[in-house]
Amino acid sequence: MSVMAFIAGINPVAASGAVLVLVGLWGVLSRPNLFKIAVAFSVMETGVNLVILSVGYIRGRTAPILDSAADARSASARMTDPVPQALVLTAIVIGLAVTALMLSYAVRLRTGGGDSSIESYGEEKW
Amino acid sequence: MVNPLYLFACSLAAAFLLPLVDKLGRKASLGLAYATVAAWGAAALSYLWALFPGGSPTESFGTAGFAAPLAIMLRVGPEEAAGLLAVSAVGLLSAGAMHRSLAKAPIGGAIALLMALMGMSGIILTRDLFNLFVFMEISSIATYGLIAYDDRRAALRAGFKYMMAGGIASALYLIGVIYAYRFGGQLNIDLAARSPGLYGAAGTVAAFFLLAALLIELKPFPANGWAIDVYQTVDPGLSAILSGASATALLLALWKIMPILGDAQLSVVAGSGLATFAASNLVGARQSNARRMLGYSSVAQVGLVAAVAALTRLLSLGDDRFAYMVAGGLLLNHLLAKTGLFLLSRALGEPGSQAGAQRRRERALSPIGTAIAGVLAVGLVGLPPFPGFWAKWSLIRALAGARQWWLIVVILGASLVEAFYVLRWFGRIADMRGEDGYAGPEAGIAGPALCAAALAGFGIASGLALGVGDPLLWAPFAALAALLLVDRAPGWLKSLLSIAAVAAFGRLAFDRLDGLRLFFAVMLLGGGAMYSFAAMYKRGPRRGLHPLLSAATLALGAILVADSPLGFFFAWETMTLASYLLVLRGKKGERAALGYVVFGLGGAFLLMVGLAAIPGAWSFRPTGGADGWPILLIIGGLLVKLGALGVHVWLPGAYAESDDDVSGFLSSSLSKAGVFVMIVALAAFGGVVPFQALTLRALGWIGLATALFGALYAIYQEDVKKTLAWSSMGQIGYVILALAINDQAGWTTALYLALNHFLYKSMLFLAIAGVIKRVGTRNMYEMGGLIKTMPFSFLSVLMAIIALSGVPPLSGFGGKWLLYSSLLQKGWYLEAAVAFFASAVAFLYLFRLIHTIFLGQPKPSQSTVREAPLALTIPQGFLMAVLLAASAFPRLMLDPVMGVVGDVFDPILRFEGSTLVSPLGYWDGTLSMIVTIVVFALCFFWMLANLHNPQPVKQFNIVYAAERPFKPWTTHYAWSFYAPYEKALGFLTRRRGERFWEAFGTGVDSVGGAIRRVYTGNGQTYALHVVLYVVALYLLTGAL
Amino acid sequence: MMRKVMVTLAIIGFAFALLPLAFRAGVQAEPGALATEYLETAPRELGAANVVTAIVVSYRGFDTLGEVAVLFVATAGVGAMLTRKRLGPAAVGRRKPATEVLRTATGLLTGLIVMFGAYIFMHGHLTPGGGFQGGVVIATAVLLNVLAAPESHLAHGVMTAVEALSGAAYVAIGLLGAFLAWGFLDPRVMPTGSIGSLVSAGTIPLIYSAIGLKVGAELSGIIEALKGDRP
Repeated sequence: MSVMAFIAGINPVAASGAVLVLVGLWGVLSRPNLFKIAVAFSVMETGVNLVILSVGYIRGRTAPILDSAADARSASARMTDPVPQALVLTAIVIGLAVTALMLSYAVRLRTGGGDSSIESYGEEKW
Repeated sequence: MVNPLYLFACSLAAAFLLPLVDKLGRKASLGLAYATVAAWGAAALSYLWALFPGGSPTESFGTAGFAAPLAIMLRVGPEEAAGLLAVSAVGLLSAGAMHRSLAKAPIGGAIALLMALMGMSGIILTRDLFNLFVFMEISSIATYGLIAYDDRRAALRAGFKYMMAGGIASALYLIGVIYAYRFGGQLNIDLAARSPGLYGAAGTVAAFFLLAALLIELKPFPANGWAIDVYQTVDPGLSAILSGASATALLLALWKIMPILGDAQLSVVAGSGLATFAASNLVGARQSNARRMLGYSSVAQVGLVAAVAALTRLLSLGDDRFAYMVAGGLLLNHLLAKTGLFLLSRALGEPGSQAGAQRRRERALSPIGTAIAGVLAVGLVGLPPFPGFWAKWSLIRALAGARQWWLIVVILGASLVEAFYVLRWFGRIADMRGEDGYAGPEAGIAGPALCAAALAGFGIASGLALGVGDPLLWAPFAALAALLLVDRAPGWLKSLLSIAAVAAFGRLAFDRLDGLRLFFAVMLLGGGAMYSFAAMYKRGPRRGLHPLLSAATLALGAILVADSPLGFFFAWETMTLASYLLVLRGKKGERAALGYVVFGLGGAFLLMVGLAAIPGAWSFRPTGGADGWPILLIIGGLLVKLGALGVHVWLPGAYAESDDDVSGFLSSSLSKAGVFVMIVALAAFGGVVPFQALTLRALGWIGLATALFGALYAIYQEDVKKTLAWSSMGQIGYVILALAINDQAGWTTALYLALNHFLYKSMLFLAIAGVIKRVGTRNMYEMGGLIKTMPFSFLSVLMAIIALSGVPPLSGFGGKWLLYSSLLQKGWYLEAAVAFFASAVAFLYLFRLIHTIFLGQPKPSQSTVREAPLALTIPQGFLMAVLLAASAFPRLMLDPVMGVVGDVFDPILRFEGSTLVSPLGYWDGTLSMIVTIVVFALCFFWMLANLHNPQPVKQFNIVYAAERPFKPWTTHYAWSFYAPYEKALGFLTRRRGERFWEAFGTGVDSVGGAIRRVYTGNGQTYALHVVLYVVALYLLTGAL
Repeated sequence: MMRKVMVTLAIIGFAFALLPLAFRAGVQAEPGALATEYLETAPRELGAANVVTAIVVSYRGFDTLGEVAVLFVATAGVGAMLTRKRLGPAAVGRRKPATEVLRTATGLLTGLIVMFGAYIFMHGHLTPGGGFQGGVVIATAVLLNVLAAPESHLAHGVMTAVEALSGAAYVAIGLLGAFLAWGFLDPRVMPTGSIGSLVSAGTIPLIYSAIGLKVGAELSGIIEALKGDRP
């Protein structure tokens, strides 16, 4: 496959989502600050959500809502795939819940007298 | 069937309303939460009820009035119903344990508990890929909430690591699910499995991402540090939920998506599972913190179950029923045992987070608590009658059928390591029990007790399902249970009950005992009954002794009557279990018992593989063309049990540290079980052993070396029981040697020696038990001159050592004569010479035995001791009579023996009147008895006639020449009795076996130590492990 | 250093694993069979103009119920973890009062924001929106108020009641579907009406309203808990 064909085949939404996932992952793996880790997870989740959306995207089509642009009869010919959009909604909310809990853990750990670096919470080991 | 959707509605409504109900009081809100969990359990029971008597195999439920593919489907089948039951049962038990903390913490704790359990139920029921994700997230997020609910700082630290791993897993899962939709076109698992798109290049990658996420949730090595930390630090109730309920749900999820996995992916699951099983057990062996250890064990077990599930499909080991039976059995075993142990660990007190610091803070358990811990620990390591035992048997059999030897080695090796550390832990708990101030059972013992009861119940059920229905095989457990119920009764009553149990067993089994089995029944059952009688010699109830002794005896009987490989192995392991607990009962039995059981299990594993690898084994009609080499495994396993040189290191400790009468039982009765099986195995497979001549010769040399070194070790002991223990080892060595001769003369010798050993070793142990009871020490140099105070015991020991050493007139001479003539007949001259030398060595310790204990100078402090109690002297008297009769009339003993052997071999030996004739000579026991008595009488009278004026000397008519010895006991003549010989032969007795096994143990230990360096405690490193694990797996599936 | 290398390797490896999916899978040309079926049946059977909403609330309503449960249990967890008792007085600290601008704007905007949120969740079956989106908008009004008056407290009891009752209402509507229509969470309890009108798509608007209230209350609870002075 030539380079041009490869680039043309790339789904831009998916690609940017994947890049965000990698950036988030890098943050998770290399930023010791608990709050930054939580933020990195948010970045990663956003990337994942973009990837999910990219799967439903079809060039030149409209959102799966009936209105003047697309009525019930032409729906399947003119609309994008609604399933990933439905799924991503759930994924977003779940991501929000995880972030909230992560931040609470970080707050609780720090108010308990610790600092914000994950390296200082390695008492259990081996 | 109740639509499970109502249960979800019910759970959610309850959870949503819980904050409002809480305003009415915490009792009301917690009651509502528990009731909801119980409703799930009730529904699960009703599903099982509806599914099992042959109703519809599964039932599906659509949501929102639609069906798949539009809507999410739930499915209830047998595995789902069982899983739901497991989740709600574990949930209720844990909730019971957490009740106090839940009542104190904010209501969020109860909400999280309810939602976590509902999430797990959802994971089990759903058939939709994305819905699976939602429920996984519900249960993990609820778990994050639960980790924090009682505000333990350590749990918060661990929880954050858990969230990091969980976050990565859910990202992976989402990517997988969306591309599975993209390429498979479906979200419903059953429909997706049928869509070809998922099996294309990209579709496989999508399935891989799903799989990777599930695997991470299942805590694979090395990406599981976060999970271990959580198990260690959170409320034990939550640990139980995670290790039991959550693992069950996730394993079922893995099982669910298996249809969309290819072979490469299944191999990865199997490989990862087995690696986890092996590595986690190795690291587990290094743990001193009980909960962390249980955590490693949990992770290991879950890995094994996942591997088995994958292997079932990959190698076509069997149908779904096989998977339910084996993977389900292992899972059930893990679930119940681990739940019980985690809940029990609460009663042991709160261990500190630092390893090593917690031991002092652990409390001793009550007897009931200890017993429950024992059931759970023993169940966990897969001893009978618990489900793990049956599952492991089926698994090994199937793997042997598929010729997967390496898998068997890994699984059994890691199981052995696990048995080692779990039983080490249990031994420590059992050792902590003080004799004083027992409290009643601990608070919160009900949960573990229920788990233990369920474990036993399911174990019995699965045994019956596998066709082991013979009541005699179960008799040991019946006796154990019955005698435990009357454990508070006085000892004599329990002794009589034990004897009655043995008698009843013998009566029931009598018809099934042919000549050989009858011969052994005398030693095994008769010996057991005798020791039950002797057990009366110590006053008091001797709690736990009689049930175990009785169980061990009946297990020996069960070995004789078993008629299938599984039945035999069941009886064998029952014997291992009962005797292990007997050794553990000893005062300082902790270490010895551990060595005993680890070697016992190792030997048993060899036996199991051997039995599994021979089709038609134990009917002992080897099918044509069977490989011979598995018989080597069987022989190897038996050699471990017999304590052959090299694998004998468990022996001295076990025989020395158990109670004095129990030692006798182990040495004289129990060791004969191995002889019996060896004979049966050789009789059946002697013809197909590979390199028959070489193998038998090697076996002979092993026996010989055992005999020689047993005797050599015995002579330098100060501890009388150690002497007897090493002596037992040596004598069994002769039996092995004789068996290896493998003809009529050899086997006659072997059986004759075995019976003799039973007689004289029983007399020795019983007599020594009496001596130890009277003088209160086991060191020979602290005894002396007991002939005057304990004449009967002296006589008993005298006769026993005459019989042992093989001097006329007692039957030992016949044994030695038989041995040498068989060896010479066979042409094994060198062996005969070494055997002779070993007998000479044996004289040394025998002489010491009688000389230092009964002769010489009495200790002033022991001048008033009395003769041994009747409970000991009566059996000794009986044995003496038997020994004399058998010596004077050898045919009494030899006729049955030769009858048995005659079925197998052409005769070499024959009787002419009272004379036994071999091609090399003859022996007349009656004649030699008469001659010896006459000669002895003549000498005796000569001595009496020529002895003028004997002058008694005062005992302390000696001085120390104005010196005060620094260590007074070293001046005793019996101290270091054979120092000169030690200088000459000492180089032979350096404990190479011990050193080898010690080095082996250290090696295994350091592997574990190296592996555990992976677990640095840094959550970010753990996350890195997770990612690297996924990458490695990805590359691996690509390569496969 | 070692660590950096390993992280780099991990990221590169992960990117490599993502390659066949995110970079080579390309863009779909046609919706799949399942998507087509949704697009065709959702307006016809449920009368919902927004197909995504139809999927979210009815076909895959079970997911959504789970999602509500996730948010609920997260809120409960956060609330249990970050109480004033556990955090101690030090955690709250001294707060500066808000500026005049913020306080004035808050007074003006709160009502509007809440109304906008309600509009979003009530029109979820017609427009891009729904319960979660509406709930989040409502929670921003609470956030604004917390910023404007840091010492103020939410009416905790009221919030709990709203959260509990709206959740219970959601479950109850779902159960009505089981008893009056074809299954749990079936919105066809009420007539599906004509596509495009506010009263259409069965119980979908009701469910979304319940979700909107619940999410709004929950997110407000999280905001308050993170403030650190929840009783």
